Amino acid sequence: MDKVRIIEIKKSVLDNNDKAADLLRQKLKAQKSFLLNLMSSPGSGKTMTVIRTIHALKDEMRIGVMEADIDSDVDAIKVAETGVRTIQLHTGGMCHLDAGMTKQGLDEIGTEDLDLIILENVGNLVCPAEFDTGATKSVMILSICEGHDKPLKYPLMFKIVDVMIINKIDCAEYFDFDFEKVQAYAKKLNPDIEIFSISAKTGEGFDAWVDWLRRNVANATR
Amino acid sequence: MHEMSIVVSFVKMAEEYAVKNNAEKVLKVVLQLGELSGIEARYLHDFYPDVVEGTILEGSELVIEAIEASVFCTNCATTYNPTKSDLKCPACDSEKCDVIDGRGLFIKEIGIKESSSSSSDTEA
Repeated sequence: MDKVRIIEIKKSVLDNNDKAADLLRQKLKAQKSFLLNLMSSPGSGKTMTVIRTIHALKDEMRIGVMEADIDSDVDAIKVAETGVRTIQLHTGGMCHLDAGMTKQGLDEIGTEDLDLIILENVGNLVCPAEFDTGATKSVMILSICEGHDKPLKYPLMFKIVDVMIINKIDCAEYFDFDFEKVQAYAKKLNPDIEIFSISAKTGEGFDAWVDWLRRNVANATR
Repeated sequence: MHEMSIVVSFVKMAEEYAVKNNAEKVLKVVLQLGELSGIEARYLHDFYPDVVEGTILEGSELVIEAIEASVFCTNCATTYNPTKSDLKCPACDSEKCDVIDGRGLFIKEIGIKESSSSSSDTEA
């Protein structure tokens, strides 16, 4: 009869990614760069928010953008028009970025002379929440067209982010979006979450969000 | 699907340990999956046979044990097992809590058949 030997391993499967993410965070901290991981579902206005954020901050700091998508470069082309350094990452069918892919992107864009790097993650409320990218802070956008019940449906995303941005508030009158409920749901999952309501189209509410980002980049680059 | 990339990464880990321990074949892989991990056991089972095809894990059994969620309330210092989505403390209703257990996914152990060319300390 075959001799079977049991080998105890007791190691985290997600360990490799967590370790790579921590290393990346330390490296960025040492070189005084701030990496923002921006997540949301498709069509929530990530790219438009990125573009308006760049316009608000590009005279104060050196910004780079990494656009991650399964395919195409439409977002990178749009963002590059702002004049900041932009690259497109293709995930090759993968639904999220992990720390390894983020590092590849950072190596390609070259971060030594950048204060703020914005990583626009793949549009998806599920998988990107599971993988630490090594970002300094993580932010998610929920547009009001998606409904105020999303924290109930995708709890992990709302649990792991530092900030929730509620976008498209200029369309509020057309939707039955309950601002109080969404804030209560999100705070229940994540009591420390900061919440900003904006319209990336009109610029309404943008100052508070940009202030938050400016403050956090200053902390990291000081 | 991210379950696929998870299967790929734990299969790679198991393979490394198996080779290091002079295995001819891997017969069994035992995982421990946290209730709050957001990872679905049935997808891991679904993808497993395809991922291990052509490796020394081919034909092996995948066993997944559940790890119960355990949460510590930072307000009243109670430790409790929450329901999946509601982490609120049952003792003081506080929502300030730290998850102690139940978020992770671990390889607990693997069962291997040792290479017959290896040392001959045989047993029944």
